Amino acid sequence: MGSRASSLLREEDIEEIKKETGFSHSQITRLYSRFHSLDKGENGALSREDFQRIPELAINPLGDRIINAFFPEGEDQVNFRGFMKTLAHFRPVEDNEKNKGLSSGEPLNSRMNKLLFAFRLYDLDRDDKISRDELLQVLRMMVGVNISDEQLGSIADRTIQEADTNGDMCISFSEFTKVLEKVDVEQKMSIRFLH
Amino acid sequence: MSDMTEPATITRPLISSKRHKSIRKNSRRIYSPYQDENGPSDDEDKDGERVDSNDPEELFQNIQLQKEIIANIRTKPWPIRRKLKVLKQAREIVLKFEGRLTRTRGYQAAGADLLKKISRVLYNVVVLFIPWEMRIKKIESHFGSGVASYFIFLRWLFGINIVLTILTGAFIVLPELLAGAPFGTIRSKTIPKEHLSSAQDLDTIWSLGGYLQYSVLFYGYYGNVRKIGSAGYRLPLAYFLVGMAVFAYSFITLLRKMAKNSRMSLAGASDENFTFCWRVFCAWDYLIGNPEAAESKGAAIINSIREAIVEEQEKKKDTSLAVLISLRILANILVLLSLAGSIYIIYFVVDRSQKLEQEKPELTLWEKNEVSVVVSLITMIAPSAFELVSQLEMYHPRTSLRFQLARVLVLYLGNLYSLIIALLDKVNIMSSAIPVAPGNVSSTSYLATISQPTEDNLSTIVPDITERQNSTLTMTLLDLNNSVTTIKSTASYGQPMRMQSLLNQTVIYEYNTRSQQDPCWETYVGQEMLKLSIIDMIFTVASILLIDFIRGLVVRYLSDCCCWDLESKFPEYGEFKIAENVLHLIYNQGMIWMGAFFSPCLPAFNVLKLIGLMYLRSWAVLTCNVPHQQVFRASRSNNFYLAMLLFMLFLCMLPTIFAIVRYRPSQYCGPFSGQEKIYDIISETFANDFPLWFSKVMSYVTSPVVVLPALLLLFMLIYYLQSIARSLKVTNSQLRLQLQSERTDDKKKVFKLAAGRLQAPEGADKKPEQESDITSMESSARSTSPTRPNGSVVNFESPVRHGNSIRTITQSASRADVSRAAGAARSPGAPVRQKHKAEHVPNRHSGYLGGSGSSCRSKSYHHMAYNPSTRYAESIHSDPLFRKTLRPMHTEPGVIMAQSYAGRRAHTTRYVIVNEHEARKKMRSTVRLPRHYRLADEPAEIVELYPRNVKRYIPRTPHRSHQPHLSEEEEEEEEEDPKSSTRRGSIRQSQRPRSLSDLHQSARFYIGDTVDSQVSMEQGLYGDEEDDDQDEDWVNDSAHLCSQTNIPESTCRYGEPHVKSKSKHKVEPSLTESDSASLASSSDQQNSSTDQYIQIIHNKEKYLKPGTKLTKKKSKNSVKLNVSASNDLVCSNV
Repeated sequence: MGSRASSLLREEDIEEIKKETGFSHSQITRLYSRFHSLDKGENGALSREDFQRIPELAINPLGDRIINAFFPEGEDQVNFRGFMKTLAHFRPVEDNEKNKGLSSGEPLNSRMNKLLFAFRLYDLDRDDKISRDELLQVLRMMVGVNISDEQLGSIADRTIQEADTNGDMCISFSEFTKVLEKVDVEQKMSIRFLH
Repeated sequence: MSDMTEPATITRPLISSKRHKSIRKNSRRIYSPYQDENGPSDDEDKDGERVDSNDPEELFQNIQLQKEIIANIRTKPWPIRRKLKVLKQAREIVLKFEGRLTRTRGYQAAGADLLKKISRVLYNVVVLFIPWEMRIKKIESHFGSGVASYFIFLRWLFGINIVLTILTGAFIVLPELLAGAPFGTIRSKTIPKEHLSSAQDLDTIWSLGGYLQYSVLFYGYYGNVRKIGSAGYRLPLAYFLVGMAVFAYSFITLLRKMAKNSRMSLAGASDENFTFCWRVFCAWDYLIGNPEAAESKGAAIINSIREAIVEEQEKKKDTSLAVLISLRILANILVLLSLAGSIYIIYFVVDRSQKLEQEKPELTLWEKNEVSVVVSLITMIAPSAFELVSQLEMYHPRTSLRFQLARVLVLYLGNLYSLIIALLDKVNIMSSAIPVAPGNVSSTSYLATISQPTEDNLSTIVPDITERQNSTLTMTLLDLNNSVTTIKSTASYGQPMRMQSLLNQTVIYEYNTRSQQDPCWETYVGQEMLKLSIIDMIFTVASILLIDFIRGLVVRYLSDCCCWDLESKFPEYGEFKIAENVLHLIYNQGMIWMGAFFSPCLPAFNVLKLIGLMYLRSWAVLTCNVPHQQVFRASRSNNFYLAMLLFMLFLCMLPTIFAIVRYRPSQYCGPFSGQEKIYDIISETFANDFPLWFSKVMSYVTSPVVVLPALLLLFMLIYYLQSIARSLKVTNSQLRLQLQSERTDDKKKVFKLAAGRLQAPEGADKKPEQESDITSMESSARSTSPTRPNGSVVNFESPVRHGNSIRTITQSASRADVSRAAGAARSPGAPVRQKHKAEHVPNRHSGYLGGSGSSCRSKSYHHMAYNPSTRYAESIHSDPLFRKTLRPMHTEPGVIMAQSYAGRRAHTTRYVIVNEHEARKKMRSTVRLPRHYRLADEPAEIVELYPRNVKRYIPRTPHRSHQPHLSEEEEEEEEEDPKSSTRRGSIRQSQRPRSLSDLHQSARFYIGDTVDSQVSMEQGLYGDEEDDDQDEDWVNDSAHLCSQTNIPESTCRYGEPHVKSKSKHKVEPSLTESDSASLASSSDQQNSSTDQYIQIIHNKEKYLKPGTKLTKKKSKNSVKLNVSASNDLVCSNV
């Protein structure tokens, strides 16, 4: 309640987040403590540097992209709400979820949203298309300097050719979903959060 | 973030500790209010909150939390009062709410959790127990799947050898050691006196003589007593059976593994789609939290991408064929020469060593080991030579690896065989010397010249003879014989003979025969094989150290003080040569199989060798080798290695079997001594140890009366299974095709969608929301709504789409094939037909009858294309005539029509439909079919075809300007692709939904205009003829063109004045009118079976040439396509 210390989560917030993301109460408090421990600046928001301190992200070649996914366009701080929203993408789809029926539209952890999240990792300029350049950049991140530009280019070309169905030499989101339709995204893009 | 990854990390303790910590944190936070305030308000708050949540899940969580608090409250650094309070609070909550949940629920949840944890731990443990799993994974990540496949293969061989070792160890070696006559008790187990002194010399041991020769290592040591020990273990029988079981087991495991692999590869083959995308998008494992693992993963990704690149380059590579062929021929000649050379050298060496053995009593170390060393040297050097040669050939790395493997295999086999033949030669001499010993003198001379081992054996016999024949003679004979062998004086030799002859004439004979036969040839063979194996191991170790390690050291540390860069120029670091190493393993295993019968401990030795090899190799690979320049993908289910191994096994079994069947076992050593043939042990066992009836039964069973029918039955069975397998294969490919077409159907729907969207006036909006539209597309496809079709008429914006619509035609053609193949058009069943239906929608619209050259030239062909289904037609001035003519064309599912309109302009484009054989007949029959395919038609499809054709065939037309998307170069670029892809054969191609390659199939439609289209095509007349026809229709067509495609009026020179580019509805009427008019003129043709129809001919070689010729005329692009196209469509007007 109001009497609580400012760094603590308020119940209303929890309720809202619960509604928004589908996390349980204890998950939210748990994640909040995590959020809090990441927040070195103690200002209730995470900066990019805070994320980069996480070792898993530091070693991930695509770490930057993932970190980026936490930040809304043009901002370099993310508060707990935003943090939770992003994490919600990774919430496993539970069996009872369908029955419960979240009130507002598609839950964040639906297949589409998971895919969209993955798609955004590659869509550097957020134009809803993965162009050859973007793909090249991402590939470059992944392989470092071990492979020549030319070869990487041919990989990117092939990838786009394979996925591209409408001939614009870009991979749109629908093409992306098409490509990954056989991948068990629900399973693979889920993280078992502690209850 | 780490909260996210936490659950996935494998290490248990970490997680649990983290969990613990966070729980504590939670509890502290949750209860921190108590610190500041007094209870009541908070209690209410808590209670309120708790009561609110009626969700059992949440309740359960809360209770769990409270319980944790109760459990941990002791450790909290709080004042005792607060602790008490919190404790009370927590207990209350637990008491209050626990009743709401059943206790079992808690247990269930806990149990499930526990189970999960345990299974995960178990899984990790299991992985730990797979030998070398981590090692191999590490190598794989750095060196790619090719190198890893070597190690996996090695591990697998290791497994086999373990089993073989157990077999021989448990059934032969152990019983012999435990229950057999101990060392030194009988002659065959005793080292002859005169050799006893040298029996421990390094030299003797090295050549596996002395103590080693008289040990369980070799055949000769085993006794021939039928039953040993108190249990009566039949050692000889066991020896024989185990010898056979070794082969049988190897065969069975090999075959099973191969079968499993091929199953896997069949199952895996269907996932060929989107390999690149998956590689790129799904590469990283986001749960990796360990820097080392991250590095490995990164290396793995790089490798997989490299592999992909190689595959890619391989597809694009083209060199002049003549050069390539001549190079390959040259390479093969070189390889053959070196093979012949190496075989000759081995033969020469073996021959020489045999001569040396006969001539010289004492051999030097080199002379003794000459053969093995030469063989090992050749096996080391020749593969490198082959590798050099194979660079000439320029195959795909995987193919060249296979060639290399096959060549090296032949080399190894040649080596082994020339060796084995030489050995058998020797065995032959040894075992067939009996009749050659007529008199004393000759035998002595023979003895004098006989080789070293023979002498050893000779001397061993002597005491035995004396023991048996006459005990009184023992001492003298022994002495005398010793003197015989040592001094080799005929005189002293003569003496014992005389003494023996006094006793018994037969003794002399026996003595002679024994003295010559006694060299235990089985032991000799076993020794040779073991020696070979040992030397091979030494060479392997040496080569690893020298070629890899030392070289690596030199390159690494001397490159600074050298004038050129050692690391990148001459010596470089060694590469791991997969082919050579795999072959080496196979060769090694071959030696084991070959020698196992004669040296039961060979598998055990091999196990040790493989273990050593595994560690040494993996160490060497990781420390001194660099990844192969060209990494390529070696599928794990690689049956090629196994096939070679099987081949090797078979070939290695032959000499053993041959020796067993052909030669007489040594008389005085080994388990089978005294028998005529080794396999007699079986019949003997039957005769002695089985009841009488059994041997009778056996004799019946083995008589031709039973064997022949059984053989016949076997053949029949094989044939039957074979045919079943074949039919299954066919079904399989059909199913795959079906799947494929289903997929293309989906794709098509998406296109339609896109088309639908584009049809909106300004149409450029291509936002990707197709998913949602798919359903609507479907519905529109099934039940036509008149408005929709009209709306979608115009769509020529994206070239890809054109390509796509054309593609669907080919697709459906192939589908039709399938159905026909299945026996009857209907047989594939409802779903397939359904699909036909769906597919024909676009086709029908685009259907077009090829213009006929002569009298039946119709002005109206393209109007055919507008054969909308009734509804559609009605909506736009339907006219009966028109429909009538159309009907025949589209009713039959098997008949596929593809038509494109644009052709007019281009002079070329009439296209064609494709229908198969007996088109005529079918057409007629189909005319009468009710039209149940009134599906919605989306004129969009028609139009889609349009621009493509225009562009392709008529560069000079004004329409060209309307193809904004592709420039000439782009087109070319794209078209290279199909060329490469089509190499894989038509089936594969059709399965691949690669839009670009599909695109190009549009180029594969040809129209034959003459009555005899094929002839005309071959003559290359086609273009000219068509020009004439089409010019006549020019006006009409251009009008349609303009209207349909919304081409700005300026471009339509012949456009009818009332056509407005933007108004589709206005356009339509004009279209149909003109259509009907022209159709009217041509309708009679249709109905009077002059039959214009179109055939789709799957382009086989027969048509390939004409096709190319034609296309050359048309455009360079299509030339390329043609060559590769396997399902080109040739349209003809018959």
